[in-house]
Amino acid sequence: MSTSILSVKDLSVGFHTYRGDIKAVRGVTFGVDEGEIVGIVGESGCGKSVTAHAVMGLLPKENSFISGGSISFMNNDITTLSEEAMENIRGSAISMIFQDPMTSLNPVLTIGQQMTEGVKGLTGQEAYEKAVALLERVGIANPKERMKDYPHQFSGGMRQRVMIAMALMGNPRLLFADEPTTALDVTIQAQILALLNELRHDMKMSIVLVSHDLGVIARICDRVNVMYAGRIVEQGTVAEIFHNPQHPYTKGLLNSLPRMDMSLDEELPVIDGQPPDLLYDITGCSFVSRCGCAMRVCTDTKPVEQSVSDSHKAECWLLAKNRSKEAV
Amino acid sequence: MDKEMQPLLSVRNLAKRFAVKKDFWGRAKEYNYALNGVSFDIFPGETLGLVGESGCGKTTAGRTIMGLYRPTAGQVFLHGKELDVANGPDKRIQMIFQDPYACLNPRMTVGEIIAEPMEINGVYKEAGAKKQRVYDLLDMVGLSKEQANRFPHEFSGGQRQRIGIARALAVNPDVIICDEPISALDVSIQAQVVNLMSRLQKELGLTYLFIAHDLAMVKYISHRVAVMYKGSIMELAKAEDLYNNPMHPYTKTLLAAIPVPDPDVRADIALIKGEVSQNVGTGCPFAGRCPSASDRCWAEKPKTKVINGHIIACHLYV
Repeated sequence: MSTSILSVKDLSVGFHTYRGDIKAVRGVTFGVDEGEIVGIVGESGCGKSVTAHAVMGLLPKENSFISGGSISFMNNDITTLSEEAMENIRGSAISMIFQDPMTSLNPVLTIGQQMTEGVKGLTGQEAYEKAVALLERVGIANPKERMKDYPHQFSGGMRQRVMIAMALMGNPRLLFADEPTTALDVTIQAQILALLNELRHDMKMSIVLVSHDLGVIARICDRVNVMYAGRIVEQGTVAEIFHNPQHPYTKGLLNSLPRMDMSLDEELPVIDGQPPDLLYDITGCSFVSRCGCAMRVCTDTKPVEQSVSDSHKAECWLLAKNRSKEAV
Repeated sequence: MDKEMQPLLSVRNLAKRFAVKKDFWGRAKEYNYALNGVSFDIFPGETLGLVGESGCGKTTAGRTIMGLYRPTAGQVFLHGKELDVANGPDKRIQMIFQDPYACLNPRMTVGEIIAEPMEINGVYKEAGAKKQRVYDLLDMVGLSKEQANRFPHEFSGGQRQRIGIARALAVNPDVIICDEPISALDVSIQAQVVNLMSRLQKELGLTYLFIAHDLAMVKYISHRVAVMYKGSIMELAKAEDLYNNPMHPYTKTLLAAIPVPDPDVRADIALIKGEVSQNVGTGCPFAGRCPSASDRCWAEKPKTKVINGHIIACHLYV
């Protein structure tokens, strides 16, 4: 479990827009070890998908730029890799599945054509056999027959299974799953999550699961990164994040979910306000305007990452105060 | 709910079919029954949750009650009087839509959007009173009256949903049909909108039909919950009873599939096999996926019966 597969250091990504440059990702650092499932959770616009796309080298060239930081995959720096070199990694060593299985498949090609399309180093027959085997592995009945079918002949859950099988064609070491179950029903979601969990054991691959759903993250992740306004504000093991959240944003997020034992007479705790506009620089903590425990230091100075344990870190001044108290 | 109370809205054997195949002359050859004989009551001041997977007919139910679809069969009663579907939507039933981005006209100001239902229904004919009503409504949903002259694109998703709520309240409806009002919003914003909705319910005595697929949120906001599957109601009970003691096998599997935000609850997730299939045979709609299906389930559609306060359609219970 200790071999590092992916290490992202201080990654910053921006987008040119007519209003100016939006700094969508503002110094993100996280790692993925072999065989683990790492979750990135946050609300829309927090930069979680942009982070995933940056690692995949899928950011649109015309209007986006990586303004700092490094991405290293299996100890090779891939931040500045050429498009050709990236193409050798993408789809084989690193793969990705997307949110919407309806639109990420080509409607005019059969599943078989799409599955064997991007495979390198296999003959047509080998690729065909591999595709059939993988379709069977992800739970598609009659894989040989279904190879000849078009995407519209599959249901949403089945399409996501096909997407997963397709992502596995290159034997990836790392799979990015960007909101893989958001478009699916709960019963189908449970099936897909169980499949992903099985596959990481079978194929010894690591998975980065991007989601806004804390329930999905809690179900299969080993470690969790909580993102807010382009930064990872808290990271830790799944137990640390869910049982002992330290950052007020993580706490607020967990509290705002209705618990099964709640009645209508209790009001849901909310996080007031809106996330900040990422067009502008933020001098202090990005969460300060919505935080119930904000202090003067929070508006003036960016919080420094504080360690709660070896694996558990949060960017919040509240923790620094606690620590200095202990020291005194 | 008080047993003696008269239901505010009653739905009886409501059915709606859509043509899926047409012949050369445009006549329907094959139908898909989105609603297959749905009956329920909603009492004044109550929230009835309607949950189910996509394609189960929950949105069709809302739209048919609203009068946006003409029902194939069945009746809707409001205050004990049958609604005439030929008249189209009734102003006493209003709707909040799922997508706060698509449901507001981008070329109208917020004030115009909220005033539109009043104009259509001819209430508040005097301009000053109408304007005041718009300001009051904005205040009620937590927006300021200065925002009345702005356009929808200037608002965030949560604020737009507030505008949608203000529009639904504009003509003092008796029932509000909420069609997945929070599923397009972020978690922290969802809680804000849900709190607003439950506050308005207490203040104005509103009655909601709350359609959603997020079971935890439905449990929180609803007094009673109905579970739908393939156009039929499988189980309907008080929210507490349904979640603590689900009786129908489908309710059980649906509840087991909810991702719980607690890593300790991972183990022993009973996975339901298969997916929703289209063919509606003569039997129970859930027979194909049900772990306890018998021959009878395939042959005969179960009738609804009341057991321990649960309205349930399943052969397992006699």
